[in-house]
Order: sequence, then structure tokens, then C-alpha cells
Amino acid sequence: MNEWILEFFGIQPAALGEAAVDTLYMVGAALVLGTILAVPMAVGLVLWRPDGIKAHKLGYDALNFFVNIARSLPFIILMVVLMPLTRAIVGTRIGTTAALVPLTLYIAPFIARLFESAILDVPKGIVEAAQSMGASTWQIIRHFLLPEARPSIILATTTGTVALIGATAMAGVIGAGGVGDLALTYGYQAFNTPLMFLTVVVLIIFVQGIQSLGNALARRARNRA
Amino acid sequence: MIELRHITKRFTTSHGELHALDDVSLTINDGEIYGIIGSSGAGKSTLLRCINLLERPDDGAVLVDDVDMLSLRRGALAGKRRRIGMVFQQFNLLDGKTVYDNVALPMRLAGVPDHQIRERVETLLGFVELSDKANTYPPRLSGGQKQRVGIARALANNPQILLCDEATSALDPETTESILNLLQRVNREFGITIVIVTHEMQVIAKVCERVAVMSLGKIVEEGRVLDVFAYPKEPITRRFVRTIIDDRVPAPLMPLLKQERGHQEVWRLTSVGTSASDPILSDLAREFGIATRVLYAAITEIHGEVLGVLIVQAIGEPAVLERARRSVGEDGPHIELQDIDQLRQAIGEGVAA
Ligand SMILES: Nc1ncnc2c1ncn2[C@@H]1O[C@H](COP(=O)(O)OP(=O)(O)OP(=O)(O)O)[C@@H](O)[C@H]1O
Ligand SMILES: [Mg+2]
Repeated sequence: MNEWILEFFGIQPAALGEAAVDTLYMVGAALVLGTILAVPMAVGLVLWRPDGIKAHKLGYDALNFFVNIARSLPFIILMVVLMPLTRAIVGTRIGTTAALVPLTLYIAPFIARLFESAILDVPKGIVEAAQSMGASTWQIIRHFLLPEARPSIILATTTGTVALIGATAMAGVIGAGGVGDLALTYGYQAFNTPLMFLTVVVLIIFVQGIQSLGNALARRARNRA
Repeated sequence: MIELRHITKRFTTSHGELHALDDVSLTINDGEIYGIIGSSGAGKSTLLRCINLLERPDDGAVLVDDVDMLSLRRGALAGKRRRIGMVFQQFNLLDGKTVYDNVALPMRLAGVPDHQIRERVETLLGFVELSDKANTYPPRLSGGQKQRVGIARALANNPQILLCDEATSALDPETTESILNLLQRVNREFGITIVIVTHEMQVIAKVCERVAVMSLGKIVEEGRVLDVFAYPKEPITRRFVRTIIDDRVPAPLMPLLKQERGHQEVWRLTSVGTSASDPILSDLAREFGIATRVLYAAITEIHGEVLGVLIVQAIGEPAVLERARRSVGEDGPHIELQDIDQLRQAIGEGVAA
């Protein structure tokens, strides 16, 4: 079996496994870190907007501007721009862990925008009901806005995950491992067509699986009744 | 007691400044059901929301049980709001939480211990007759059931006041009736003061003791519901009363008035209580020899009392008619001489409407 793989794909089976693990690691870690950053950004955008419950023009404009800027940079450029920051945080500019810095900062504003619109879709009356009960701003977020936006938030996270998979493929450029790197190194540079196709198939399965999972979770959250 | 003093609220819109409330004053007594009626955009919701400060007035004072609401800090205001329940036209329930959790939520926010919450939710769901729906999610409920949950939720923290903003406007007539009955029970069994905002006069007629009529940011008329129905003063009030008591002489009867050769008058008789169904017309014929023709008649129940409105054409000598009018007015219904030309105008209005 192992020999067959080596012969057909021109690569050690262990390297295949390692690539898969690297991709999962980068997507998983960047998703967790990105979501942790995205939630406060989204909440800030919702609360501070001109008709929000904590309207704050300066805060809103600044946050909105930052998110727009971050969103307008293609990942490959963001990666290069962030190199000094990456080195400061991780100690090195290259490698799989180093790629987490640009990946996180790439995905956080993206998810923040999606979360923002998910929260804005919660009917205004829900907030009124909350205020009429004497809920604090924190309670409104925690007990009303986030739970009611949950189905849309799940879908937004799914979209974010798919976008991350795309970005991790590019992270091969700064020496990060993963499925994308495999395709670049062996498929593109060494004209290893079978391996190319393998990575394509694996990526399709990844994305399809995540999208189906996300849809199912969102559906369950929506008509739980 | 709720006191609103000289409340003013302006909104800045794209068309400039909008006076949503213009120097509005109002007193609502403990334990009463008070109605606020008006056309769309009159400022009813804004006024209601000033009571729990969902809307902060630009000017004026809001006193709830002698506490100046505008002077409260955030924490004290939250505490006060817990004692003022609110019910909405669109229910505003959380679709992602069960009926049980929806009703429990206000108590969870207030930090009530779990075992107490459980007991209270069970009592409340029993009260609104939804005990079997505790684990259902709101999207699975009918409009009437949703509003029952809304009411149970509003009662969770034992409020003294319940604010209802068009609580029945999204419901069919039968469901409206059952929700109004429930609100009456809330008022009687718990002694909760209820303020109802509506644009439907039958809601006022059924449950309210007093009513304020709003138009363009002002209260134009206020008083006991029965008085307002019996003797509406402002044209807008008359229009609202007509949605229940359509006291316009039917057009096909008008030729009878025009063709009458003898002396005639048109009387409007208004009476309250069971005397509304007294045999007044036969009395008039017997005592004064006056011939009468009924042009309009209605007997309506207003907040548990009977209101009768009768419009008759009376034919006879001027002096006799005057004597008869005096005698009726002394101990019987309120009598009002109507201008025949104005009747015709009213008909024009009726045809146009
Ligand atoms: N937040 C707001 N910003 C701007 N204008 C507002 C706002 N809230 C209310 N208004 C305006 O104030 C006026 C009164 O509104 P309000 O909602 O109190 O009317 P209403 O009597 O409750 O009407 P309806 O029967 O349609 O609910 C309307 O002209 C409305 O457009
Ligand atoms: Mg309204």
C-alpha cells in the first residue's frame, strides 16, 4: 500500500498525512482565534452604529474603517504586509504557526462583517423587549442578540471556514505546510499531475463536508421546535 | 399612579423636525385599565414608551408611584422597569428559546434562584392556559398563544403596571376577545394597572375605564369611556365612536325628512343604563300626542354598562314639541336637537366613506 502510494503520487504517505494535519491545524486555530476577535468587533459594530443602543460615532467609524481596510487586502498581500508583526509575535516569519497570524487577521474582519449582519437581522422588537425587562447592555448581547442570531452565525462561521481553507492554500508561499503547499510544491513545480488531482479532490471533500455540516447545524438551530 | 407632566418629544427626520409629543399630560390611577387611542402616527406608542423610558422625553416629567423616572440612574431604572411589564403587537418572543425559557428569562436577568423561577413559570403558564406548551418554541404557536406567552413573560417579575402596545392588533376578532378577557383577569386578580394603546375602539369599549384620544402628538379628549362614547366632543373622537355606534341617518330615510309638510324636529336621545330600553316613544305619543319616526337606534354595551342612542323625527306643534323635549330631558335620556341640514352632511360623509 505504502509503496503503491509512493509510486503513484511520488511522495511518502506520511507527507500526505502531515499535509492534512497542517491544513486542519491552520484552519482550526485561525478559525478559533479569528472568531474570538470577530465577536467583539461585530458586537461593537452593532452597538455603536448610529441607530444602535450605544451609538458612538467615532468608535463606529473607526471600527468600520478598519474592517473595510482589512477586507480590501487580498490574503497574499496581507501575508507580506504582516511579516514584521508575525515575527514579533511568533518569532519567525515562515512556517505553519507563523501563517496563523495573517490567517487570523484575514479571517476576523471577514467573519465580523458576517456576524454583524447576522445580528442586525434580529428584529428590533427583541431589543425593545429586553430593555423593557431592565436588561443591561451585556445581558441584551448575551441573552437576546447572540442566541437569536445563532442560525445565521453558524452559517457565517461556515462561510468563514471555507474562506480560510482557500487562504491556507496560499500560506504555502511563506513555507507553511498543508494541502495547498503540497499542490504547489509537487503539483505545480514538479508537474506531479496525480498528486495535483488528489489535492483537488481532498479540498473539494473538505469544503463540501464543512458546508453540509454548517447547513445541518444551522437548520437544526432554526427549526428546533 | 402614573403621572406624565408636559411631555414633549421631538424626532429629527429627513423632512426636518417632527413633534411626536407636544406638551402631553396624563394621570393614570392605580388598578385601572386606561386606554390611549388615536390614528397611526398620533404618538401613542411614543407616549407609552415614555412611561418606562424606552423613549426619553425632551421635556417634562415622568412619575411612577411618585418616583421621578428621569432622575434614576441605570441600575435603579432597570429595577423600576422590572416592575413595569410590556406587551407588544409583534409579541417579540425569542424564537430560539422554549415557551418556558421565554417566560423564565426576565427572572433569570433579575437573578431569581432557579427553584423559584420554576414555580413561578408553572403558575404563570397555568394562568395563561399554556401549561402544555412549556417545551414548545414560539414559531410553532398561533398568534393568540404567542400573545399569551408575551403576557406571562411580562408578568414574570410581579409588575405593578402592564403596558400594552397594540397587543391585539395582529389578532383576529375572536382571539382579540380572549386576550382582552385575559388582560381583564390580570387587572382584577392581581390588581395590576394596565395601559392599553390601540387604534381599535372596540378594545377601549370592552376593557377600559378611562380613555385618552390622541391626534398629532396631543391629547385632544380624555375622560370616562362611557362619557366619551355618549358625548364625544372632538371630530376625531366622533369618528372613533362611529366605528362602534355608526349614528348616521341612512340616506334612503332622508327624503322622508324633506317631504314632511308639518312642523318637525330631529332629536338625538342618549341614555345610559337600563333606562336605555325604556318605552320612551310610546310615552311621547300618549302624553303629548306626538308622532315619531325612528331614524337610527343602537343599544351597545360599553365597559359593562348599557349605552342607548336613538335618533327620531318628531312631528307636531312647535310648542308641544318643546314641552315634550323638556319633559324628556328632566328625568329621561339626554336630548339634543339636531340640525336637519347637518344630518344631510353627515350622510354625504357616510356615502363618501
Ligand atoms: N425613532 C423615531 N425616529 C423618528 N421618528 C419617529 C421615531 N419614532 C416615532 N417617530 C414618529 O413619531 C410619530 C409618532 O409615532 P408613534 O409610533 O408614537 O405613533 P403611533 O400613534 O404609535 O402610530 P401607530 O398606530 O402607527 O403605531 C410618527 O410620525 C413617527 O413616524
Ligand atoms: Mg404605535
